[in-house]
Amino acid sequence: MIANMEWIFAGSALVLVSAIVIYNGFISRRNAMRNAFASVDVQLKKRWDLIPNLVEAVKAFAGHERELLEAVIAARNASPGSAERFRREEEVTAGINQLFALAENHPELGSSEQFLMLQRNLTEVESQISASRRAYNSAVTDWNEGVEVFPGLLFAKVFNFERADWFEVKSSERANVEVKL
Amino acid sequence: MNKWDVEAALAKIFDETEEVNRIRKDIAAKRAEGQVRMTFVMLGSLVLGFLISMLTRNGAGFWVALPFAVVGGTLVYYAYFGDGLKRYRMLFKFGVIGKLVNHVEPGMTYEPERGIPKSVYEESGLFRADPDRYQSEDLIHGMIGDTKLMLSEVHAEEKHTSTNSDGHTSTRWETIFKGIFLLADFHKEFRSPVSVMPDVAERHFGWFGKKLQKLGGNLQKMENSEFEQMFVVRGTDAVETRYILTPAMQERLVKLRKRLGSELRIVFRDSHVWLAIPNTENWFEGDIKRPTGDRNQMAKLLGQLRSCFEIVEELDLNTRIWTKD
Repeated sequence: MIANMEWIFAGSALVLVSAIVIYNGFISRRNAMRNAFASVDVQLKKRWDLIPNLVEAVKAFAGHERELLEAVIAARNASPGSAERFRREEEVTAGINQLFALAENHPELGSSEQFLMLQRNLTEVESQISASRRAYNSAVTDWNEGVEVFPGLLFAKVFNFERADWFEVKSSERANVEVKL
Repeated sequence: MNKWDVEAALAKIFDETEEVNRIRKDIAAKRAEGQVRMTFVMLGSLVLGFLISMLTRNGAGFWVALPFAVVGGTLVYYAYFGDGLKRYRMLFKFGVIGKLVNHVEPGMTYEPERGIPKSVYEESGLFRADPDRYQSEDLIHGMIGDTKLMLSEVHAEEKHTSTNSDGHTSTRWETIFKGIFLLADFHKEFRSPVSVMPDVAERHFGWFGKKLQKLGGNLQKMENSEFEQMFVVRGTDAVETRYILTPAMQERLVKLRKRLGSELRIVFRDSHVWLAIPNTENWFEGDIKRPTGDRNQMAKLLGQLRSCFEIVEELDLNTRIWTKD
């Protein structure tokens, strides 16, 4: 009888320890996901801070492209907290690329020290944004595996852990970047 | 003009190869003469000893002649062979390889007697064990485009001492790494180190190996499945790891691994990239038996240099579109 009790006790302890390990695994995965998301946010803010300088640098050259400038400024001024945030960010990316393309028609702009420096800084930030998104997607994959695979799925149901969504990586971001300086 | 073209390279360093080849011929002739004389002294001593033994009907004559043959042969060897081979090898390195390096990459310098310091090897973190014996030679360093590069041959060994039940101690030397060690300036700034090592566990133990990898900590899973099968990536910062290992960089490393072999190790640290390329052959050497300007020898040397220098292009290290100059 005592031996049976010991087995029951040992079994319960094992279940408890496993439960703690699995639960803690979920928490660290969630933290990794949140950290990655926060780093996307940090990089997006860095980009936002660079945009006024870029607009200032190209203003004198944007004759017919006034509308483009205004669109970039409008996208930049959209509230960072709004639901439209990430849709707006895509507009900002497209707008910035078009502003850089101005340099092809205006050699003076392309040779401006300030413009080149901004281009480098923005390329840097774009790379960091892309890296942060990929890190976030990797964390999401880990999290979703935990939620969907046994025995994690039991915990997911009990603690209401739900699948998370990935950032969609556009095909243009997967392609090798070729930037001419 | 294709800088890797053998004929063009030979034409460019024609004077140097001719000069070194003249010295090679002298050394080779002296060695050939030495071989004849050494054979004569050794065989002569033995035949003489044998004849004395026959005539005196006593074997002692032969046994007395034996040490004469060995000592005489050794003396002739040193007189004729001496350091001729070593001298030729160094002449070849300075006179031919040095010029060849300048021909294909004018920004690079070849220093055959120097190597990558042990401290740099250890600092890379590419290998866990600290070597007990470390040799490095054939240092090539300088700039390729905007990229600072340094590479050399390295042989690092670990000493293992064991004592058997009788109390006898034996020592053996185990190679940790033998091959080309390369250090290059990376085109991006980063703070946390990222290691890209051969995926031995997954290769041998499959799914279980994959689980085992996690025990090592800081495991980062990359999107490229081919890259994932070849390498195991560890980095303390998930974002910075991906900032370095972009999808394009993963593809480049897959190609590099296919070219350089499955044991290729890479570490990104302090805004530099370290590569350990295993190789059992001794690179950057001249063969005294071949004419200095031998086409095949030259093609082989050019191939070795190209294999190292092209890494800069293959990893796209000269692209400077980020904030690092």
